[in-house]
Amino acid sequence: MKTTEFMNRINRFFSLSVIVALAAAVSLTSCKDDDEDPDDHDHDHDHEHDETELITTMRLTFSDVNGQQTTASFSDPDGPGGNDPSIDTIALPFDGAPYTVNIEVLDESDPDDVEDITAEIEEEDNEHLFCFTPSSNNLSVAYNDEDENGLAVGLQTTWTLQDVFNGSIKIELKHQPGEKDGSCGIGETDIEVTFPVQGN
Amino acid sequence: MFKYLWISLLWLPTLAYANHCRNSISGTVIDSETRAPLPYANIFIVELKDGVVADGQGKFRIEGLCEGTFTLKVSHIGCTPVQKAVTVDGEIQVTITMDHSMHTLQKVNVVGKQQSKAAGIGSSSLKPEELDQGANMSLGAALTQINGLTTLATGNNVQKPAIHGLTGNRVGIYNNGVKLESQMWGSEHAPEVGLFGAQNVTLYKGVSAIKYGGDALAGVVKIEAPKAPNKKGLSLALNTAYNTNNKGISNGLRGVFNTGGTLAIEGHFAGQVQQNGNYQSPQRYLTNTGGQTTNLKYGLARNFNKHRVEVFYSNFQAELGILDGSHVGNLTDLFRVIEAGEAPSGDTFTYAINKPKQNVFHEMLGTVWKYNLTPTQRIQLRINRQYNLREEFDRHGPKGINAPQDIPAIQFELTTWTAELDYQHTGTDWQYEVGLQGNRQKNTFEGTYFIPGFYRDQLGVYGLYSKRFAFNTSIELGARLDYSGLQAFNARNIGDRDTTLQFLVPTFHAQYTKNWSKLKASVQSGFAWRPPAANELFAQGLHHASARVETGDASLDAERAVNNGLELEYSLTPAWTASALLYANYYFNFIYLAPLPKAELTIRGAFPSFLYQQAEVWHRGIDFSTQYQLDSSWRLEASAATVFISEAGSGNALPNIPADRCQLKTYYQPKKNQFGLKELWVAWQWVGQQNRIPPFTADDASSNAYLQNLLQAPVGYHLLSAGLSGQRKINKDFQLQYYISGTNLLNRSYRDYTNAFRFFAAEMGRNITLGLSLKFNS
Repeated sequence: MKTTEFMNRINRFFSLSVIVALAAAVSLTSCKDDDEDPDDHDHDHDHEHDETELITTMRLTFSDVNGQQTTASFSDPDGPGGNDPSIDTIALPFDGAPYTVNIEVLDESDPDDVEDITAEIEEEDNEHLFCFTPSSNNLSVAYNDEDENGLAVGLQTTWTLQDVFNGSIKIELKHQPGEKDGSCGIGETDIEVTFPVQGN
Repeated sequence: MFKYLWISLLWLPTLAYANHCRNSISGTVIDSETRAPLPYANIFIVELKDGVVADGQGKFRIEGLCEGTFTLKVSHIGCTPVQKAVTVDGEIQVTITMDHSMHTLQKVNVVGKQQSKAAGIGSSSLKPEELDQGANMSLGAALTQINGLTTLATGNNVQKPAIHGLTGNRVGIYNNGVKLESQMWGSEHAPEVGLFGAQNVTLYKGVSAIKYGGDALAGVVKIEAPKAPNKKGLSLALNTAYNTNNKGISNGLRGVFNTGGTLAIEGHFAGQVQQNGNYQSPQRYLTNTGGQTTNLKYGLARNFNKHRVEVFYSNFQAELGILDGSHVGNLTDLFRVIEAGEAPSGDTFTYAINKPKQNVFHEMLGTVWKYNLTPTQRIQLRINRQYNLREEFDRHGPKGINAPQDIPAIQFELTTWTAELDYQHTGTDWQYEVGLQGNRQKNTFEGTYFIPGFYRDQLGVYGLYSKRFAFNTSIELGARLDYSGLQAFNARNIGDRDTTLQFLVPTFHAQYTKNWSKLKASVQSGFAWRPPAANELFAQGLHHASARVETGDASLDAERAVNNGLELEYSLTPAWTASALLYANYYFNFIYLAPLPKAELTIRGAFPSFLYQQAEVWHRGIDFSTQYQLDSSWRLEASAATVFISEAGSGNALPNIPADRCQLKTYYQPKKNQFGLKELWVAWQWVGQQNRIPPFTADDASSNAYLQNLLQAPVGYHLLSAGLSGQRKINKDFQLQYYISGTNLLNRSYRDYTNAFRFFAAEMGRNITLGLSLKFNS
């Protein structure tokens, strides 16, 4: 009688051990863990998953006929939402025209670690195209560069003023992997900004 | 047109059943050991999908039965359910004995609709065959088989269940007794759970949902693991299914066992692998809509005298392709798609999944300890841990030839620890339960900001009470109080600040039910609060698929609702039943995503801007269904649902409310045949055009054009579907079950208002699913 009770106890203990051991085996071998902390404020920059590309800034550098340089930027360092972006007005004195314009694309979301995306666009110039749409024909834009297939890229352009121009220019960056044919109507839009322009 | 159809249907049953159904069954339910009567047992007639409740002396009577054999399913709190076949011819007397054994003392689940009737108004469950076939679908898609349930979809692979048009964390999902904690707050996040291997999928609302948390204002979907046999045994099922539309294949093995003997360990397990290639709309292959899912779960349990210990584990992984072309750069790109009517596409079939895509992983480990103090008193302790990983990949990674392309644009990790303690006491005609629940949650993100990292602590206490009175009357009461504290770090929408928000939310529901001989009526009333979710408070970011900027509002109050519902179930004859659910809920501050008049200017151009706002809102609607058993082989079912969600003052509708819909379904059960064919069905569904759309406008022309496109609902549609199922016994141990079901048989091209991808592609075209299940029992 006593032995049976003892055996029953052993059995119960054994069953429980089996259950607990199996559960422990699972939790130790396969349970995944989150090694981050929610309050890690800098986690964008020191982990394997860097913040993916965020374009915050487009900077245009204008060189006039005399080699004088001015810049104009569209800048939204906090990304979509939040503070409104700042947009410079492009001033193009008539006597400096035509202007050579170089475009820089930047990620300034972290002021201590500004990333220049221009070089990456240059590397992949066969899938990128800048498109320029002035609000009137008094401003015209000509491409100065081309990719390996002889298609325009637009990182460097020449802006010519035909007449007094008080309007705007829309600049788009199209991402057209595998489909670039020189036209602006295809691909995914990476950038679309409109600058006010005063050319007089 | 429908009006007249209804009228003719209503008259049908009275004509057919005028004469020959005047038999009855009466009987007593008694305890097998003590031979004492068991009061208030549920007696359910499987064939009629209807039942009665025994009185205080265990006596019951069912009248108006036609001649034939019926299966009675009898259940009683604390007993193993009993099935008994009764051949009816005249006045039949039966005695039903039930085993009131102690170690099976658990809340008894009666399969079928009767259970749902006891579970609170508007509750419902999937039928076993719906569940079997639903194991190949997403949870959202499978639940649409319940009237009043729809999905909020983002393409073919992402479907969230919506209860009466409400979704997000207003719908609680419980897997094996554990609340699924996942990033289901975003409209493009589907619940990370598989149905395969589940025994019951039940929808709870109102009082019955109170136990399951204060968030779930719309209701709770409970997915239950199968019960192991009481004595030594093993059941296995090997399932396989194939979908013609996306060449989807799913294979799974599930089973339950009891080792018996001195070890006496019970267990269940299920594992399933699914893969599908590109979906097809009637026009074309939808590029990059393939998906892969694996789903594994198991549990072990043992009884130790008055104690029971359970351990369970589940693991869900999915890689889901997102329709190519749905990832648009800006509004100009989106307009180009809308104008073309379709996203640009490669139009070939493949199983390969490219970017954009989602990777999701969910894992849960839980333990339960149950202690039966006495046959009527039980204590239960549950401890669980869940981990959820979500990675979303944009169409393109960072620019540059050497830039790593395999890192997600955004990654969330959510870990939740939960502990629950409850006590249940059951009397002869009453039951009460009190419980304490606590959880701690940690969320982190890497990549682009959308919601911040946070800690969330919740503590809830609840009490439930139900009592049956004479004259078939019962009441159910439930109350709970929840504390929720959310500590968010670096929340971008409030200027990169840390903040802690605390909410104290009460919930109370009361339900009164009365049974007459042919009518059962339940009235429910109560109030419920819901603390705002992390995205509603702190979201900030750009949605590439919907081309809009979403912003949370950290000053949101808890959502407060007053709920009222009336459910009527009427059986004119045993063969004809009808039920209607009418609800009218008032929200003092319903949280929804409202467009702002001013567009958000970004470097990608101007985007329509949406902000989480609160408004006084009415949520009203009707679900109606009726069933008619023509004779032993033909059955008709009709159902209809309509829902209104509108601002209280202006009456303006809110966006994304499912359109009105109805369905007619005919079942045919053939006589015994050599193929083992059990049932054939044909269904016709109509979904109207949503005319209740909000009159949103924006200041600038392009945002305005966006809103008008967004709000304009696609035209209504009709769908035809059909199917059959059967089973054949191979030998004493093996059985083969099969089914074939076809959806959108006419290959109609249609778009759904509650699918965010309706601009990019039509819904899935014709699909035939072939399913086989080899079952083994020993």
